[in-house]
Amino acid sequence: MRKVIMSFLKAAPLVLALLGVAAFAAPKAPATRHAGHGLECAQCHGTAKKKAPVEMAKCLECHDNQELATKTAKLGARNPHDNRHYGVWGDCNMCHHEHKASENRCLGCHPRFTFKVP
Amino acid sequence: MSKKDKTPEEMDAYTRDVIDRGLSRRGFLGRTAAGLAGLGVLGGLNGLNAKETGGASRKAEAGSLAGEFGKSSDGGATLSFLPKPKAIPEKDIKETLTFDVVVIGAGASGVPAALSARENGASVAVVQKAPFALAQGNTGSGLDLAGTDKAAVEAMVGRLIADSNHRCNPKLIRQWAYHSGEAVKWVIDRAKQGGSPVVNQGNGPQMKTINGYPLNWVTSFFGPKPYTTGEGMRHLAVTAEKAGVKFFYRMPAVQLVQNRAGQVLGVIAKGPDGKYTRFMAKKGVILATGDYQNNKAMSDYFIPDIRNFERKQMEKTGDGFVMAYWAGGVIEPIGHTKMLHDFDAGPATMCDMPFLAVDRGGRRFVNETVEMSLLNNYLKDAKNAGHYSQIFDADYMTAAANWPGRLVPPEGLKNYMPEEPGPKKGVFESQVNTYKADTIEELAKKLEIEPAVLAATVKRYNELCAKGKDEDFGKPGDKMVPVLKAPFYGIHRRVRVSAICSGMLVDENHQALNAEGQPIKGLFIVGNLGGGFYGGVDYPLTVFGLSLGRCYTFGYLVGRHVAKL
Repeated sequence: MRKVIMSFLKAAPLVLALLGVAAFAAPKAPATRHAGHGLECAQCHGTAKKKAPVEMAKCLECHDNQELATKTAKLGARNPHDNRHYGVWGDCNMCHHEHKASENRCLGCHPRFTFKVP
Repeated sequence: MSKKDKTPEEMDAYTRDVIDRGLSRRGFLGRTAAGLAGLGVLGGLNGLNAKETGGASRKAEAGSLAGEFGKSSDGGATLSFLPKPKAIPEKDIKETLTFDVVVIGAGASGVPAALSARENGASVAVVQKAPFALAQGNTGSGLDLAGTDKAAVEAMVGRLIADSNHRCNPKLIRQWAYHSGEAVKWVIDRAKQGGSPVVNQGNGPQMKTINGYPLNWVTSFFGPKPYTTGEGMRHLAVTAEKAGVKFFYRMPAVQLVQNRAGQVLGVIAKGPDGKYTRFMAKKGVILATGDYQNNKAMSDYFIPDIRNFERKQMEKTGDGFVMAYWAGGVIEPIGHTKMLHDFDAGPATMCDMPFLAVDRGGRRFVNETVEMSLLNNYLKDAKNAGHYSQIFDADYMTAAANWPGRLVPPEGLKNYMPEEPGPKKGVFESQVNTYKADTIEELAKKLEIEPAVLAATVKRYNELCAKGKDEDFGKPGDKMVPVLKAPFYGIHRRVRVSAICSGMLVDENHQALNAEGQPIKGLFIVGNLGGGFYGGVDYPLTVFGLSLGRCYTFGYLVGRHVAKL
């Protein structure tokens, strides 16, 4: 029985997606990231009925952008967390997504800036 | 009409045309300004009718009064990219700071404007959306009057007016011509004080004579890459800060503060904490927020030609256009001037050399003597999207020895080749895109072209070269140099949008004008947000560094002017 429940839980995001329900409407965020660390929707999205996109300031409550920049200083030709366009203040949401695949926004203009975006 | 009102007959042709065809709130400004200001000027409609007489009310449209967005010049279309600023409640404004001059935008005109105003005795604040000063490009130029005859200056003015297809404001061109030498020298000096390695290249890259008259230049060069004018303006900002200019970074301006008469009194900016600060400007607000290339709706409307091109800048969302429009300003009519080039894939000095050029599909598309600054017009479809390749063979150093520009020898070309190991100098490593191969087919693959197509194009081109006549595009016979001898070279360029350089209607003081041609008190506009300096299909590359030279010059002049008010 437990197995059955587990497999249902695994399939739940897919089922919800097929039903056309927005992923974040599920009681628990389905992603392996913040939800996996036990965060509730409200901790990022607030308790208002209409869920607004999360602003960078919210990210900074837990993540230190200066520290991130140090961590990725040797990632490649340029440091994505300390770049010519935004310094260390690039909006996290440009590349990092919670409810869809993240993306490398450098690539559009800098074809050889390849790295994985978690 | 006040005493100062000019009749349409008294206005110059440029101003009359922009008022006639441009976009503005026109007559309904006077009646709705109160809600805009965030100053609690909510006295209803009384007192706001100063402009209701004469032309203003005639042009007012009933439907516009309720509008939340701007309108097309005929009033027929509602424009979602011109949202009316929402009044900000007094309780959301954390503090009010007062200066003589407030500059919005720390770029190639904003930073000079701020420092210039400060040096002329004003207290100055700069509010900037980004976390630091930003600018692009390397070269900014001016005419050195010391070695330039007045006839030469006027000939240059005439040339630039022609380059703008006679659609610019000649007064602004003259202002650049007669003040740019002084202004660019000043920028070089003050940037050096802030630690910049900027140099004056003088006449180096510029045309030496015009109509037989000698020209003398001041050519500031913030470089070599990856050092650019961005770093240059940050160094200039160091000098400005030392002089007492206060910079407020990560604080996008969200709306202007106006009184009921339409005078601009300041600006409200949003800080990183989400709270608002009101900056009051006793003498004037200088808007220098740049273009709108990253605002898709605004771009598609004013300049649909660039829909498929990549952008070089980020966050250029046209904020200043929205603010100036709602303050009563006039946006130049549709058909704005664009600037597209690629000085990075291969040597900049070889960009206008008429080697064989093929589009993204590998076919010839133009008489290659057409300059790079114009090639975007042939490559604006979604497939080409600005991509093309210059192709030449092992003999290029001798074959093109007398062509326009400066050749870079094979050893130097390696600096532009991603396949070559080792560090590169003076280039953006992620943008270099030059290749070498032993066969045309192999070169084609590296240029992302179907090998058979490129081989056929080269075969045809070589046949025409053998004849000494370009039967396909009419290029002069002496520029028909075949592609025969290995190794073969290809520079895969992609022109992208560097800037859009049309903007708001201003007068010679860079003061914004309203739809009646009257100066808007307290509002000044410089840089690419300012109109009247161009007007052609494309930014001309006649003077290297004209764009930055104009930004510095007008920043320098407007700072001084506003400080002395």
